[in-house]
Amino acid sequence: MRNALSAVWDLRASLYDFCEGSRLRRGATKAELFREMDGKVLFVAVGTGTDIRHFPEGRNILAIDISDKMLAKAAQRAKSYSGNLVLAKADVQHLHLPDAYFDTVTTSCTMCSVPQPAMALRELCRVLKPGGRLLMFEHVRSRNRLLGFTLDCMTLWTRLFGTAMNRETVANVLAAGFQISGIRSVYLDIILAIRAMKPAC
Amino acid sequence: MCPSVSPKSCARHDKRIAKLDRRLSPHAVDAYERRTVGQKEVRHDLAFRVGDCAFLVLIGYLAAAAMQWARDLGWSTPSSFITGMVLAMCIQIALSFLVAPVLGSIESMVPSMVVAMVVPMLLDGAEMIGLELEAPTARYAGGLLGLMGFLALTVYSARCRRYFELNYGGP
Repeated sequence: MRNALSAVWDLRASLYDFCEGSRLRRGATKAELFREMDGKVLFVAVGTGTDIRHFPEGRNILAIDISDKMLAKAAQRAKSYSGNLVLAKADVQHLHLPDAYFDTVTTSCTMCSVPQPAMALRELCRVLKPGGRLLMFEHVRSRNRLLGFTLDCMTLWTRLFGTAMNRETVANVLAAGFQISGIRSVYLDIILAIRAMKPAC
Repeated sequence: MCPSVSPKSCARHDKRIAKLDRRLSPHAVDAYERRTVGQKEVRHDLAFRVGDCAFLVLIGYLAAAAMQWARDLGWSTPSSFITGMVLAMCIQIALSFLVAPVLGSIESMVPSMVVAMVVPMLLDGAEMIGLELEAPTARYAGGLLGLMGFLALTVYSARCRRYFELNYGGP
């Protein structure tokens, strides 16, 4: 399963930059969200590294992805980052990382592409320190019936390429045990900047 | 922090800041920076809104044209309806991919799919109740429906912002 997923994303690596290249529109919002990355940071699904340009300087970041080809492209972009940025291959659903290790976990358009987002979020909760922050830039299913239906229809074919457009990410974040501290609408109720926290024990 | 994009305009901006810095208090410099960033965000936002609007009008226009073309084939109503819908969808998907690097993939794909579905349905519905539109009128009606879709999204966008602020708090 993990290998199949990895193969899908290896295939998508060549077209990824074109499809996700809307930094002109979303770049400022991402940069604003990522500015809050602090301490030891885990960045999930770095892809080809298009988001690296939005990382604040001087941070200590471990950026993971499931695809070797994506990581190879990201490595080129990582060279320009002025801070400590380490790239590694990992599956967010099965992280071989210690409990309560990171101060911040950040995701960017990740939960749409993970087969089991609830499991992934539980893993992220595990590796995050109590009181640590979860920063998410995600697209989710709209509450509007017409837009929600459209996203369901789109998912019928986008799923073939590894992306589900109709994920209930806010509900999944809460179910994983996070406390949401703020949600900002980036585009309607489809693209959201979510700020959450792992409750201190 | 310099809000400008090109190195040239960035240098110009830094120069202005330095000049202000010599003359004014730190508060004035902060206010100048905030104003500059704010103005730039407003300009960006406006440009994207114009782009979204133009794109939806275009999709509405082309979806209507696709339906019109399918009707002109002279096939049975269900066949021409399905052909028109499929063609409208293909045009919408192709154009969405083309504009995605500028307007964003979700921002271009989702609302335009709604327009590409609704416009042919409405035109066919209008024909079924006896309101048959001429080819150019139908295309303009499609464009107008695209514009109405954009206006509806603008209202919904404001409602979404308010909903998240009220229920989850701001950033």
